[in-house]
Amino acid sequence: MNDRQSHPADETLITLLDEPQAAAPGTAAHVEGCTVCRARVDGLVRLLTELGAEPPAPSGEELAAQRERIAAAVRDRPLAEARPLARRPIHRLWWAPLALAAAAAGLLLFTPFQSIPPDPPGGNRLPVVVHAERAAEEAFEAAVETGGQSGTAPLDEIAPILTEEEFAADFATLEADFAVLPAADQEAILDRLSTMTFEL
Amino acid sequence: MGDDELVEQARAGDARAFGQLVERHQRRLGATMTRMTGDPDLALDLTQEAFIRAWDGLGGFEGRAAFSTWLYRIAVRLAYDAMRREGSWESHDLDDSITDSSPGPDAAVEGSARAAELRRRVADLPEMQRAVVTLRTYNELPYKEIAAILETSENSARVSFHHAITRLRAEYLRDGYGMEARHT
Repeated sequence: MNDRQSHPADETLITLLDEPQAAAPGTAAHVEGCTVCRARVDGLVRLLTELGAEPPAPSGEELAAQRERIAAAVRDRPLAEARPLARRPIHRLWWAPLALAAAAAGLLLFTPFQSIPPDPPGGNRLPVVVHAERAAEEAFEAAVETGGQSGTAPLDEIAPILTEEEFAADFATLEADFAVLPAADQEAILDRLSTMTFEL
Repeated sequence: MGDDELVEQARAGDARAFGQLVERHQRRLGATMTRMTGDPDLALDLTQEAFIRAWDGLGGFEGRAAFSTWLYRIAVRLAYDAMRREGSWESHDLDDSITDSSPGPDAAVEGSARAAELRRRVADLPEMQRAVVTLRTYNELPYKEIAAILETSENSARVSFHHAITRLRAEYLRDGYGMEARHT
């Protein structure tokens, strides 16, 4: 391609590398077939790689000495009285799988966390919802193990962000949307939920 | 044990729990400060000061952001202050301590020179761009978290990153480093 005007702008190529999902449609295909733009992208990749390279690190002894200094400083400093911890807010996440997980997790929050009911005999809930609840429970446990908030925040701390009614309404909508998805999509979403971690 | 539990214990006065938080975040935060300031000695000081400030501020930490986000916010503010105090930032010579795994001495010298030049260029960036470039390329943080650390909007962080990379790329090319294949 010899017309410079027809090549994507630097900005577009940076987006392609930085946030590929946000890149203008056709950019990747253009780069694939354009030697000029491939070279530009290669140059950007080298630049980004060098920018992200590990800088020289202090030795283990230096780090240990630093920890000692910090510990000594901390010993001499009384802690200020702690204010109550707020739970991180639940944001509205309209990306369906995550929202479904959040809604399912919401059910766990608003019902006793440890008492997920077994499949109701002849129950009227969609099996997928039960699965989602279990996936969410597992995700919650993973979140707890990996340092996420425990998910046991009382409702009144969460209410200003998303009320129980809103949660229920969101969940009902999602449940309906989910029910009409092709089985393969449902399965893919459930797979994803089962490996997802939460931060509330 | 996760950060949140350690933070809760530290807030109750458990210095050992805080020590675990230090050990967990010390290396990465130090490297981030080195990347931002270009000065490993200063980075060590900033990291230490950030942890001490974090301890002092633990009582006021409300848990609305992750501990690491809050810690990095403190450290970045300290880095900004240090950079402002020293005026126009001079990139320090890190090359002596860089271990280059490239194949031969010529490549090592060239890589070292290029890295030094790049650090100088990064050091010339406005502080916000420098911070965003570091947090995005080295720490690989999402823009949402970068925005939380830098107390700006995601879009502003994104724009800063694009401006910085566009500028660095132009300078990189002007320096003759942009087009050649690496290690060839």
